[in-house]
Amino acid sequence: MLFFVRQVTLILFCVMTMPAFASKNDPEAKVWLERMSHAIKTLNYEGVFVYIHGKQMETMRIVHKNVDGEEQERLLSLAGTPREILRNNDRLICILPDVKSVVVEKSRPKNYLPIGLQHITKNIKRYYHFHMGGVDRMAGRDAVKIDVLPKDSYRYGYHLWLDKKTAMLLKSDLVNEEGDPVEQIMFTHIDIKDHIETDKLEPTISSDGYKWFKQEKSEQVEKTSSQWAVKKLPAGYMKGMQKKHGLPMSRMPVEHLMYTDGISSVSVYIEAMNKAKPMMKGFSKIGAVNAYTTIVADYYVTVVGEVPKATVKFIGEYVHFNPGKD
Amino acid sequence: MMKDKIGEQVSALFDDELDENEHEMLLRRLKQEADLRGALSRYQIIGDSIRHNLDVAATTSMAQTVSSRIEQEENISTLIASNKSSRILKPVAGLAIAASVAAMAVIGLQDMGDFQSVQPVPQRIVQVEPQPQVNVLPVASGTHWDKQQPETERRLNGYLVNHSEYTSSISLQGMINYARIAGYDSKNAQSNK
Repeated sequence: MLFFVRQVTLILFCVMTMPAFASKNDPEAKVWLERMSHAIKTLNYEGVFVYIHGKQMETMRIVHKNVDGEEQERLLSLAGTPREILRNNDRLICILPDVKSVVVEKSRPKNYLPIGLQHITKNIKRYYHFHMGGVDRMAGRDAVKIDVLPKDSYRYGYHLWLDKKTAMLLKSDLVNEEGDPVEQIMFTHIDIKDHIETDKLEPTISSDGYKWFKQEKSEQVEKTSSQWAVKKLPAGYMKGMQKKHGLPMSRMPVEHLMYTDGISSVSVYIEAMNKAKPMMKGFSKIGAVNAYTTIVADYYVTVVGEVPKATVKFIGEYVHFNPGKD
Repeated sequence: MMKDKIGEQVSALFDDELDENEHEMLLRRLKQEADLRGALSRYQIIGDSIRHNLDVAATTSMAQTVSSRIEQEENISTLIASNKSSRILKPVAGLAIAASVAAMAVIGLQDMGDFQSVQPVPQRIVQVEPQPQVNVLPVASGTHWDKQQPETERRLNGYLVNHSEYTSSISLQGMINYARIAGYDSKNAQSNK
């Protein structure tokens, strides 16, 4: 399943390539994470999960299919306005009936973020603990629990419950430094199957008459020199990439810098100010995602990531513009 | 801030602590402004949620209830597609509405003071290239940025989708990224209550 696959690829790589770290923590956790990586990528399944953040809960149906390495996935909200997300190896399509719109983004390669990986894998143990957390029962299935916990306040931690039989992810809690849940997903029901019918991956919402918003500009190559940089980062974070690219919402290219510690990630988006479309400065949040917008020179700088408020603020305040470069 | 003031008045109205002049003025505004009426609904739901001590554990319990309700519904996707969702999903949605709207409002109120609306004021004179006319990405009401300024929300939505795509290979909860995007439409939910 693409959604799950991409989320775990790098962290599994990190765990697998640092035996010293794994042995200091719990080697069994490493084995289970490897199995989970394989399971979420190769299994065919459909299920219903709940997404809980704060006191808010949303219910989703998900279908995932893998045929000869080609993955397809469909996510549908079951309560409120029906909204649907379809994803394959090429495209991410969001169908939004409430605003009669379809938003299309290009899918990213699975092995994105090559920069800094080696460094990150060597150092990730400085920022997280990995442990086995016992056994439990989730979605009617026997499960094992794995804990990935942060050592400081610049990143969240995770409790993961994996199906004992298949290693499929059944529940995931994203927690803050104190261990309090910030976001949770939990399958309430999941069927793991030999085969998924094709029609289960077709959109159920008709998009006839909808407006389409596409990322029309092709991505530019990685930038080696830019007017923009983040002068100081929270410990453990490294630049994953930097490029200019379009967004579905705008044909003007956006400067995009991405930083990661190997598990947590933060994007910095920089756009020229437009008097007709002012942005609000300050903080905002959606679930565990925090955003911080500020103005540097004549540009809006917005930092977005599944990280604590302190992290987006820290990074936002060290964004630096050098007009002499580029 | 103006929003804070109005927020305090709505809160005071709900608690029956508003003086007569403010009471009359606020009622006039409530008649005229849908957003304000929405705020009043949210306060009511916040109160409900507080009285019921709604928390993550409670919503997890709700999740199990939702699960059993969903399992009772056959072909739920087809039903949604044929525009019968609001009627058929009402019992299911009801639980989520209470939790989600309350949380939305609480988060929004907590962070209101951090935000300030600004007009871009160039710090130096620059040559600005003419910007092409584009279709503006709509504000998708199912997403829950806690700040409601439409242009800001549009951009944040766009950033979120893009960020999710770039970082899904890292995040342990990548699926949640998309759950946020496909999330429940609490604004419509509260207006439909």
